[in-house]
Amino acid sequence: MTDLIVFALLGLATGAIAALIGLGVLVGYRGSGVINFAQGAVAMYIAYVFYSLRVLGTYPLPIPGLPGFIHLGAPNGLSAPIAVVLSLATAVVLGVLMHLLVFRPLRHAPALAKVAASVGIMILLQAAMAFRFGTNTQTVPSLIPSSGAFSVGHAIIPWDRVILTVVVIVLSVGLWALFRYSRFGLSVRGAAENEKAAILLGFSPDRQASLNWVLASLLAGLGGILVAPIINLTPTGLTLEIIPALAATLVARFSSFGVMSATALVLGMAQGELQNLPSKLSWWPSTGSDQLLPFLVIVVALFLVGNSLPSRGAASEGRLPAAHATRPQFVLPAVATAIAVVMFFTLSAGYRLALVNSVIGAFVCLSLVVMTGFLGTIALCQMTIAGVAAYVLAALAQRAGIPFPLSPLLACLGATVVGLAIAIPALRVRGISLAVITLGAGWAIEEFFFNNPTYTGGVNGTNVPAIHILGLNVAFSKGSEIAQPAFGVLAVIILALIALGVMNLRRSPTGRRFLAVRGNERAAAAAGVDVKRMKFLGFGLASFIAGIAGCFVAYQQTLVSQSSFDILVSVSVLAIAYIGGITSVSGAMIGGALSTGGIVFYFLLVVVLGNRSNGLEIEDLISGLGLILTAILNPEGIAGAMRITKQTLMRRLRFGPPSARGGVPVLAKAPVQDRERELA
Amino acid sequence: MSPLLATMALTVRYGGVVAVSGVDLSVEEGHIVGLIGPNGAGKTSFIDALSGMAPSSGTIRFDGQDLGKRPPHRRAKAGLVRTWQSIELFEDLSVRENLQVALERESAFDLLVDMVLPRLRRGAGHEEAIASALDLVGARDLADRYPSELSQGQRKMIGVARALAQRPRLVCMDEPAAGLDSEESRRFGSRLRQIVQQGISILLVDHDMGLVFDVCDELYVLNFGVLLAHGPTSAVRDDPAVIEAYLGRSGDDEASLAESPSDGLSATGGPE
Repeated sequence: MTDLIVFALLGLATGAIAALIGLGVLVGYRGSGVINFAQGAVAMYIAYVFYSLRVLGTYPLPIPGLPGFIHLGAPNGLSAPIAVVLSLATAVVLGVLMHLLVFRPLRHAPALAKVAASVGIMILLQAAMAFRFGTNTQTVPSLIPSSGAFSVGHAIIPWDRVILTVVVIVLSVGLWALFRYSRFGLSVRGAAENEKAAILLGFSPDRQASLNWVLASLLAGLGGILVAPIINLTPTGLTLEIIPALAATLVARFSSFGVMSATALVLGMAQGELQNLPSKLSWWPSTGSDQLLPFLVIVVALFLVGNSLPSRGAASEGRLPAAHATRPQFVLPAVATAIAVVMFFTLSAGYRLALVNSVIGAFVCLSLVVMTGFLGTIALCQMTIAGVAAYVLAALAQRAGIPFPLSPLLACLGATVVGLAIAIPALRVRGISLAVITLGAGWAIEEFFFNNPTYTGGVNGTNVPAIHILGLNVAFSKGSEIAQPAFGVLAVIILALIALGVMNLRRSPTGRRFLAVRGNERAAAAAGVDVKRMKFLGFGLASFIAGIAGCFVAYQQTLVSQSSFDILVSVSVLAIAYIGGITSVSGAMIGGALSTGGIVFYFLLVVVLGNRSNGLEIEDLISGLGLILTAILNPEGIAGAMRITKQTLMRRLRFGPPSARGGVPVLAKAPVQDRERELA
Repeated sequence: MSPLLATMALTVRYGGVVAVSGVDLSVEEGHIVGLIGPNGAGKTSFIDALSGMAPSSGTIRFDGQDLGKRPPHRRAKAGLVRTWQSIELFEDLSVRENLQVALERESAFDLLVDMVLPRLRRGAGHEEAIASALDLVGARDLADRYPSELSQGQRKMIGVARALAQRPRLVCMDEPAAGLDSEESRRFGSRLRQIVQQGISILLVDHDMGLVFDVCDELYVLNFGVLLAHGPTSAVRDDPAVIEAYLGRSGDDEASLAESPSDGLSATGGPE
């Protein structure tokens, strides 16, 4: 009994931070209809600012190139009240900036662009703090006493848990009253229902939205400051608290503050209990069952709420970027493949490694082209699926001794099975809610399977034997020489084949069906398209391609480790695919070039900036920023921008100024923009 | 001979609201049957129920089969297709591709075949079928355009063409003439007759009474989800109960729906 209370209280702290982040998510959603995935990252950012002020007496500046810190003349740290005020002021600024620079320009953008942008903020904030403070755990002095308050039986209940719970309850009630009774709250609710009518009544939805974002940031910031001392402060820890927070907001159907907070607190306590179970029950999985719980809550909540077909008038969201059919191309892919092969035989090991990383990244981006570009599903767990293939490969090749072509094939099929399982909720849930499911699924699989030594060999990972084709050793490294040309060529050839297949798909009946489902599920069903089957096919194919990436990662590392497949890698992979161009094969290739450790960043970091230790954080900063800019300025990504530029150039060359004669491709874009302008 | 479509006691409920209540309706092969009623009478809900887009109870017998429990795409494949009140084209696909989606059939391993040989499954006769469906709505020259480049009226016609491309037995049309001017509406009426001559039956929901009285062989009148009247067009047109439901007063001798402005019925009367 005492244990029960102790562990529930342990969980109460995480429940409280999830609740405070969730309150911010709800406030932001009410103000502008955006689910902000970066809400946890905001809490983390403010917590770091507080830590820096309180402990180091400095104010951290996030922008690389500028001095890292402003010294405030207090080498032993500022006093608590000043640190709190400065931290919360930072939260206010952050809220205003998010509104003005990101969410306001995206008011009428499709869900994908909004998710992409908020994920961009998440990556950016996370990378900024990792860049300044590193990824080690920091200890933050607590604002509230953690010493024993009163005891129940043998259990001592610390004050901080009590205060946190009270804070959550007071804020929930306060927000409820604010939105229920105040003029501000009523006008926000009115604007959410009918923006035009609210404008006609003289309200400014824009100002309301900015106020909501400020409020949301303040809530997250307060949560960060209060909870950082209890849980360990790292750039990723608080950032990922967005997952239980989203689970709770889903249960509350994106509306009720009270239901959300109660769910978050109960969820936190249940997670606390689950952390205790492995020590009590020998058969209980040693790790991750506490992280599995939010995911199960998400799935059950969404499945109960979701609908197998969207109802009348639900399709009023903005369009996804266009996915154009291209004429069959053989020359360009053949030339690109040949160039890559030549590069493998001529370049130094560093470039070859970067090229291998790019090829692997291109596989993942291709899988996202199928999943998001064609089928219209936002997926935030692609690297998790790749990871499943990697671990299955390790098990099959090492433990069971199954030889080369068969073992990776089976591993990819294993990834496909997991992808199909994730497709089941996608039958009833779409848009942002589905993005939440995939995020939760990725996190749960990572914590439950990848981190469980019983399944995967834990931190030590699992060995993967080298590839042998007809007695030929096609290993990634021989002796000290890494990124062997033969390995690279094998990867490039498989990539070329898969890319050709995806290109073909867009011009085929199945590809048209994918796009029909992406555009309008109801109309697709009425036109005789089996929507469920198309979703299973799309998820299955995308997962298989992600599986190929996972297998190559496994062969490259020879020791499969969880860090390549963690959920934040999945998230930044979506960022890169989106920047490259999520709707085309050429976009996936550009995405590959841009991916982590790939050819573009190798050039930038090693050749231009000269080898730096925090290259990974710089990459994340650039891709986070790039993602936000892409979402706002250029939704078709680099590949789309290149296509449009090419068309414009061709027309200029052929017909003189573009105003003289408009070709069809330009017309195809113009009316859409006009319509969006009318809406705006 | 049994009718092509027969519903028995078809009922649609949304939560506590009964949108359609126990409607018996049948469509004979080769007929154009009109389904009219004031705004909110349950016409679109009835079509939603037929096409599987709304949960319903009661029976839907179509071409000798019971369709009531089948998912939407299976009903479409059985030959019962629909068009939409708001225009629901696939915005990412060209007009031709919109019609191709409706024509093409799924098969085992189609994903693999399509990735390797995308042209292999190009169906025989699809080009002709697309051309003739577009001809029926007078939109042959729009094949390579994208929906966003089309006018509202053109988009409606492409929606009808897409339904026709599925080679249906029965097309349920939800306000296809809304937004057409009287000249366009007359032309659309003659197109509907051409469609019927190709062996396709039509269930027509529209507020354009000129069109409805002109082309329909039979009329059903819905009011508050309940069937108010049913019979040959001329009989229903002069039914006092129907006139009352539409105009909101007991029919004096002069009032006849035929004399009302062709598109104004929903605006002039009906219970709000």
